[in-house]
Amino acid sequence: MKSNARKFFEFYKRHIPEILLAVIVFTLTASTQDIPYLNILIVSFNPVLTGVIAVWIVFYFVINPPVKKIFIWALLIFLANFVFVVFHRERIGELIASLSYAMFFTAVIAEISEMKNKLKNDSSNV
Amino acid sequence: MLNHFLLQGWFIVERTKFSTYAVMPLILLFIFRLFEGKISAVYAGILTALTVSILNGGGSIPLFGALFVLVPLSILYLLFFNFSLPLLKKIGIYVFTGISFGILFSFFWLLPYVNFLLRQFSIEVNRAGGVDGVIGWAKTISVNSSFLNLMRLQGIPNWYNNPFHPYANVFLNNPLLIIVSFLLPVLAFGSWFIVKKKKERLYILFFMLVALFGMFFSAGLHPPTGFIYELMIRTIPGFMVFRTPFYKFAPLIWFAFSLLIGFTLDEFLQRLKGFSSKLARICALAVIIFIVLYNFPFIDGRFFVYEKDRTTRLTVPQYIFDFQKWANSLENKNVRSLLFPKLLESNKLQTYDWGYFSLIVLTSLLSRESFLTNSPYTNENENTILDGIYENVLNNEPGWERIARMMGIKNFIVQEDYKWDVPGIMNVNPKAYEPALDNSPEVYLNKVFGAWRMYSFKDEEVNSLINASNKVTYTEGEPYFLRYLSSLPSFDYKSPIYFMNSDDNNTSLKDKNYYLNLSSNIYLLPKCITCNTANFPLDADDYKEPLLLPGSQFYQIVLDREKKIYKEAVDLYSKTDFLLKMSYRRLREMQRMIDFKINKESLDQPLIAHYELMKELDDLLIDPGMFESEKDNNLLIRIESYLDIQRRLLENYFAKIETDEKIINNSYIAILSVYNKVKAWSWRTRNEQDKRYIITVDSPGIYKLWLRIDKLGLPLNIDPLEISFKFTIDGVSYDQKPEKKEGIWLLLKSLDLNKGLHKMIFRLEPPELFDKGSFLTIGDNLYQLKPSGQQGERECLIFPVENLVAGATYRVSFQHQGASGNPKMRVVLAPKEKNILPLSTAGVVLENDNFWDDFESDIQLLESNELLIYICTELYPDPIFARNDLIGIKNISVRKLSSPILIYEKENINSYEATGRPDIKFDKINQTKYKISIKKAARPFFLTFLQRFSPDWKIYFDDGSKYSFLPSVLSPSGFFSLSNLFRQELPEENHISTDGYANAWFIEKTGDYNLILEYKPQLLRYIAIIISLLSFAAALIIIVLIKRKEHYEK
Repeated sequence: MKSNARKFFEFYKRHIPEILLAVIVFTLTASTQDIPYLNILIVSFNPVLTGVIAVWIVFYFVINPPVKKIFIWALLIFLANFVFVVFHRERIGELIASLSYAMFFTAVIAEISEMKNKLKNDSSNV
Repeated sequence: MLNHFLLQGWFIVERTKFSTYAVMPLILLFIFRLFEGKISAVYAGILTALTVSILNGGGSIPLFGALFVLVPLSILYLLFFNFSLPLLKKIGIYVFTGISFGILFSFFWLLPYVNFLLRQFSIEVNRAGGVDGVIGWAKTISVNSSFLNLMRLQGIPNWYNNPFHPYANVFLNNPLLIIVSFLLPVLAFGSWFIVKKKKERLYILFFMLVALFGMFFSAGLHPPTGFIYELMIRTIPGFMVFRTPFYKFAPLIWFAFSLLIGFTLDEFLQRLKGFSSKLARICALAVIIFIVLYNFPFIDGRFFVYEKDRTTRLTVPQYIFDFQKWANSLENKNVRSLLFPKLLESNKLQTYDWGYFSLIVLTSLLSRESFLTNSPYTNENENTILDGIYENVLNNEPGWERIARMMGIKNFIVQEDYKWDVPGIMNVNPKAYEPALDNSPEVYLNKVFGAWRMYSFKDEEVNSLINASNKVTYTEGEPYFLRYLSSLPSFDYKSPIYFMNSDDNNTSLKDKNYYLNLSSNIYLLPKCITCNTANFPLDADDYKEPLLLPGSQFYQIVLDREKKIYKEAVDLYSKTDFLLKMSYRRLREMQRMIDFKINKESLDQPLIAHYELMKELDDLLIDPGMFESEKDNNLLIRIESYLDIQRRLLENYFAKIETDEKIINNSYIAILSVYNKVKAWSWRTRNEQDKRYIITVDSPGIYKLWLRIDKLGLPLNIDPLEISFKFTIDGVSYDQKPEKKEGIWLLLKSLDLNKGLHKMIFRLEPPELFDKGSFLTIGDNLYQLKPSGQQGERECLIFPVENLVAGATYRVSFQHQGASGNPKMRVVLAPKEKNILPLSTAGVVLENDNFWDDFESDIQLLESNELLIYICTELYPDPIFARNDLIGIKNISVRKLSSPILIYEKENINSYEATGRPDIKFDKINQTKYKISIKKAARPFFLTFLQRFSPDWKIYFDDGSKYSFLPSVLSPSGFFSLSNLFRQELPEENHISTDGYANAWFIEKTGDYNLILEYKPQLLRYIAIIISLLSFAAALIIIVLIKRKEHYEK
C-alpha cells in the first residue's frame, strides 16, 4: 500500500505543469500593480483577489473537473470561511469567497451547457 | 421576509422600494408563460407594461436596476435552450409591446422625469462630484459588499459603519447567527443537489445565474470584480445612475435565494412526506418558526431603532399639531415664514429633541404653505440670500428686516426644540437668534406653539408673492452683497433688484442699458481683489502626479497630446493657460524624477523644456495695456500664482538637482523675469493695509461712496466721523473725514465716475489690539525670555488679548532675536488657556540668530473672544548650553483682518414715480398657476413673482374668452387649460431674474386686464396623463380582443 506522502508526490508529479502554470498566472496577475503603464490602465484592481480567480480559470480549463465536484468544493470552500468570519479575519475570507464565487459561476455555466446538450439528445432520441 | 435589508424597509414603509421588488416575480411569470406558449407575446407585453406602470417605484428609474438585469437575463437564458426564429420573433414582439406600452402607460411620470433628466442630469452629476464623485460614492457603498457577505445575504453598508446599529452587531459577532448566515447559501445552492426533476433543475440553474449576476452587480466597486463596474460607470452612458450598487441590485440575490431555498425545502419536505406526512408538517412549521426567529429584531421592535437613541417610533408633541392647524388656516394662506435656526451646511439635517431626524423639512410635512429654510433643495443663490438674514439676525446687525420684506417673509419661527447640541454636528442654539428678534422695533412675538415661538412683522408691508413695481434697482455685484446693501439708507425692498453679474440665470435678451434706463438706484459693489492676500488656487488636475516621465519610451505620448492641445490654443487665455500648466508639469516631472530616482540621466530634459515654455510666456506678455479688464487682471493673478508655486518648487529642489547648474539657473531666472513683470502689472491686494478694488461703471455720473462702519473693527470709543480715511481712485488720492454718518454707514465722498473700469485702493490701518498692560518690558517694547536652564522645563511668556470677536480672524506679528546664543523657541496661538506641556508639538518652532526676524501668523477665533499668545523656549538636551541663552521679543501686534465694505450709489436717475404702480390682485388656481388682475397700469411696469427663477414660468394675456364646453381645459384660466400651449406667451426677453432668485417680467401693456402665470411643463404633464389614460384604454381593448379570440379558438 502506498503511503500518503507517496500518493501526494505522485499527484504532484502528474499535475506539475498545471501547478506551475497556476503559480505563474497568479504571480503575473498579482504583480500587475508593479508593471509600469499596465497599472495605469487597470483601475480599482485588487491583484490578489483577481489573481485567485485567474488561477481558478486556468485550473478549470486545464483539469476540466466534473460540475458536481466543483459545486461541492465551492460550497466547502465557502463554508471554510466560517472560521475567518468568527475570528474577524474577513480579508482572508473575502479571498476564499471570491474563489468560491468564481467556482460557482463556472459550475453554473458548465451545467447550463451540459443541460442544453442533454435536452438536445433527449429531443433527438424522441 | 428572508433578508434584513428588506426587513429594514418596513421601518419607514419604503413602498417605492417594495413596489420594484414586487415587479420582479410578476414579470418573470409573464416571460416564463410566454416561453411555455401559454400566453401571446402581445398579451405578455401589455401585462408587463401594466405591472411596471402600476408598481413604478415612485418614478425613480435607478430603483429598477434589478429588473434591468433580470429581464434580459431571463430572455437570453430561455432563448439559449429553445432557440428558433419564430420564438425570436415572438420575443421581439414581446419586447416591443412591453417597452412601447410601458412608455405609454408610464408617460404621466416618465415625461416629467425625462424633462428633469434633460435639464438636471449633468447638474446632479456635477453636484455628486462628477464621474469621479459618483465612483467615490459607489466605492463607499461597496466597502462591505464582498462576495463573502453577499452570499450570506449581508453587506448593507450601515451594518458596518454604524457602531450603534440596534441589531447588526449581534448578527456580525454571534457565532450561532453566523452559522445560520452560512446556512443560507448552503440551502440555496443545495437545491442543485437534491432537486432531480429536469424542468425544476432548469429553473434552479436560472435562479443560480440570477443570484450570481446579482452578486456581481451588488458588489459594485468591491474587488475582485469592482474594476469592471467602474469601467461600466465610465463607459456606459447613463450607468452612473446606479451609484449605490448594493441598494439597486441586491434584490436580485434575495429574490433568487428565496426561490432556491424554496426549491430545497419543498423537495426536502416532499421526501419527508413519503415517510410521514405529520413529520413533514412539523418540519414545515419549524422552518417558518426558524425564519421568524432569525428575524427576531422584527419581533421585539428594535429594528425601529436605526441608531443609538434614534427611532422611527416617535411621539409627536401636541404643539406640532397645534402649529399644523394654524399653518393650514386661512390666516396663513399665501404667507411666507422663515424657520430658525439655520440648518448646518454640512448635513442640512432637521433634528428635534423629541426625536425627529430627517433631511425632510418638518413643516413641509405639515402644510403646503411656504416655510423657508436653507434646506437641501434650496440653490446656491437662495442660500446666499437666506444666509444674509440668518447671519444678520444672529449678529444683531441691521438690514435683515428689509431682506425679509423683500422676499415676502412675514413670520419668523424660532424652533427652540431644535436639537442643536449633537456632538460632532454642533449648530447654533436657536435661542441665540431671539435677541435680535426681541429688540427689533419692526417685529413682535405673535404666537407661541409650545417650543416654537413665532415672531411677525407689526405691519403688513411685505412684498406679496406677486407684485408690481415701476422701477428696478440696478446692482453691479453678487447677491452676497444683499446682506450689506439692505442696511443702506436708500435701499428700497419694494423695487426688484437686477444683479448684473449674477447672470447665470439671466436668459434676458435685452441689453443691460435697457435696465439701467429703468432703474431708480444704481449700486456698484467694488470687488476686493485677493482681499485675503492669498494667491489663486491651482486647478485640480495640476495636482495629478505625472506618470509618464522624460526618458521613458512612452513619453512621446505626452508630448503628442500637448502638441494637440497647443494647436487648439488660439487666444491669449488658452495659450497662457497651456504654458502655465505645461511649465508646471515639467517641474513636477523633475520633482518626481528626483524623489523616486527615475531616469535621472534625463533630468535636464524637463528643465530645458520648462525654460522654453517660460520664454514663450515671456514673449506673450508684451504690454500692460493688454490687460485692461477685470478678466485680464484675473489672468495676471493666475500667472502670478502659478509662477510663485514654480519658483518655490525650484528653490526647494535646487540643491537636489544633479545636472548642469546653468540649466537650472536659466529656468529660475526665466520664472523670476515673468513673475516680476506680472507682479508689476496685476492689480491686487498684497498687504492687509492696502485693499485694492475694481469697479465697473456702466452709467457715468455722480456716485456716493459709502463705507460700512461696523466691519472696520474700530474700538467703541472712537468717533468714525473724526477719522481721516485714505483712498485712491484711478491714481487720485484722497485723505479726508467722512461727509456724514447714516446708521452704520459713512458717506466718504461723492465722486464723478466715467463709464468703464476704475481701480481703487482703500488704506486702512486696523487698530492695534495688543495691550502691553503690566508686562515687564526692557526699553522699547522689548521682552526677554530666558530659558530656566532646568532640564525638561519650558519657560513661557503668555500674552492674553481680550475683548475680541468670536468668528473673526486676527493677524499676530512680532519680531524676535537671539539676544544671546542661538536658542529656539515655540510659538502657540490659542483661543483659550491651555497648558503647554514640555513635549508639546503644538504651534511653530522659530530659530533665533543675531538679527531681528519677523513672525506673522493668522488665527480665526471660532468660539472664544480671547486670544493667548504663548512664546516659549524649546527644551534643551543639555541644560548647560541654555544658561547663557536669551531671547528678545519686540513689537508684538494683534490686528483684526478686515474686509472693508464699500458701496457706490447713484440715485434718482429716472423720472418714474412710485405712485404709477398698478393695483394687483391674484388668485392661486393651483400650485403651478395664478390668475393676476392688473388695474390702473398707467405706464409699463415690472411684475415680480417671488418663486425660484425658471424660464418655464410663462405669462399669458387672459383674453377673457368664455367657453361653455370644457372650460377648465379651454379657458386660459382653467385648471388644466391645455389650450395655453397654443396661446402666445410674453416673449422671454421680457423675463429676468431679480433679487438673486426670483422672476420678473417687464410688462408694457397699460390699462386694466388679466394675466395668467403658469409653469409650462405642467401642461406637458397633463398631456402625458391623457396619453397614459388613452393607452390604458387601448390596452384594455386589445386584451379583450385577445381573450375573445382565444375563447372562439377554443
